[in-house]
Amino acid sequence: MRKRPLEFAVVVVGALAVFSLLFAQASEQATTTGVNTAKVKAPDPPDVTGIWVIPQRARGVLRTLSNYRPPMTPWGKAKFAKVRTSFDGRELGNGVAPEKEWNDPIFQCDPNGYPRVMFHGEMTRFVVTPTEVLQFFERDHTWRDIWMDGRKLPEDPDPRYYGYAVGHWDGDTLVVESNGFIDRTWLDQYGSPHSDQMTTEERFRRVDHDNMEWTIALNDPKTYTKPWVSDNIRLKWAPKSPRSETEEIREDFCIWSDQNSFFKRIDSVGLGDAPTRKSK
Amino acid sequence: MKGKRAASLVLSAGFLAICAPIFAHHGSQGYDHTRRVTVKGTVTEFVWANPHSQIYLDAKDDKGNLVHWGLELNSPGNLIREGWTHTSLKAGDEITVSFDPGKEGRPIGICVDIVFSNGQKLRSSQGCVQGNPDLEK
Repeated sequence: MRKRPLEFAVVVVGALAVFSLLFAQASEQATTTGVNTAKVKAPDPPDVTGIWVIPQRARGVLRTLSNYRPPMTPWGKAKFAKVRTSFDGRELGNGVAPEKEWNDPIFQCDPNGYPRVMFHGEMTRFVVTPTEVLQFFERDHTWRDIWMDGRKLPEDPDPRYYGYAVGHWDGDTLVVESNGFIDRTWLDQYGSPHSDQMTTEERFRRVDHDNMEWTIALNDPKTYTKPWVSDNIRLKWAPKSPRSETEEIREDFCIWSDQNSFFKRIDSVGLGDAPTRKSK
Repeated sequence: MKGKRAASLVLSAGFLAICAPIFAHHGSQGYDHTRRVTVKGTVTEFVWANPHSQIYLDAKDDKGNLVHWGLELNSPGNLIREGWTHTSLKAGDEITVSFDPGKEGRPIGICVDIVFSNGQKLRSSQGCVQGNPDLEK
C-alpha cells in the first residue's frame, strides 16, 4: 500500500519529463524552420525533395562511411601507401606526415567526387523531376543525375568524378546504384582509396518531414577484401544550407587562383611539421 | 656576411619559385600556439575566399613601427556558421584583434578574435588547436 504513491509519483515525473522533452524538440523545430514540422509524417507518395544536412557528428565518429574500413587488397594497400595527410591510424590515416608532403587532391582543387562530397560538404539538395532525381552539392557546386526512367547503368563507363547513377523506389526508400567512378579521388579526408571498379548501393529513407536515413554500401573487390557498409547516417531537412548567407546552397568552388594567392600571401609550405591531430 | 645571407635568401626564393611548391593544405603548423598577440589596427583588405578568408591589417608595434599583419580565417562557408557575412569587415575598419602569431616573428596569425569599436565581437575558429574538433578545411 505504501509503495503505490511512490510508483505513481515516478510515473508522473517520467511522463512530465517525456512530454517536456517532446515539447522542447517541437519548439526547436518550430524556431529553426518557421513551421512546426515536428512529427509531421513523411510525404506519401515518398518525396526526397529539399536540402538535407548531415549534422555535426559526435566526437569519435569519423568523417567517412564508418569507423571500420575493411582490410585492403595488396593493390589497395599500395595505393594507400602514397597518401600523405595529418591523420594517424586511429583516424584511418596512414600516419602523420609533414605538411610539405600533404597530397590530398582537393588541395589542388580536384573535385571531391562521390561519396566524399557528402562527408566534406555535409549537405545535399534533391530536386525531383519526372525522369530523374537531381542531387546537388555546395562543394564543387556540382550535381549528379540519378536516372529514374528505368535505364541501366553503363556497362563500360568512362570513369567520372561523380560516377553514374540510376534509382528506383522500394516502398518508401529511394535506392540508388552507381558505377563508373574515376580512381583519382579519395573516399574521405583520410585518403581511403578506391578503384574505378567500385560500385555503390545507397538507400535514402525519409522517416518523417525532417529526418532521412542514408546508408551507402561500397563494393570494390580490387581495393577491399569485403564491402564497406556505412553507418545509418541521419540527414536533417533544412530550409537552407547552414553555410550560406541567404541563398539555398552556396556556390562553393575551389578556385586555383585563390588557393595560389593564399599560399603566397599567408602560408608557406615547409615551416615545420604539422601538429599531430589528436586521435579520437 | 650580409652579402652571403642575402644571396642564400635569393637562392632559396628562386628554388621555391622554380619548384612550384606542392600545394599542400596548410595546417596550423606555421604558428606559435603557445602565446596570444593582441593588436589594434586598421583593416587594409578583407579577402572572403576559399580555402581561407584573410584579414590584412596595419598596426603599430611597441616601438611605433607599422607592421602589416596577415590573418588566416575559416573558409567563408564555415565563417558563416560562426556568424560572419561577406560584409563583416572592410578596408578602413578599426579593430582590436587577438590571435596565435606566426613562428619566427612572421607577421601572420590564426585563431582570430576581433572586437570592434562598438563592442561587437567575432571569432574565427580556424587554427584554434585547443579542444577544437577536427574540421576538414
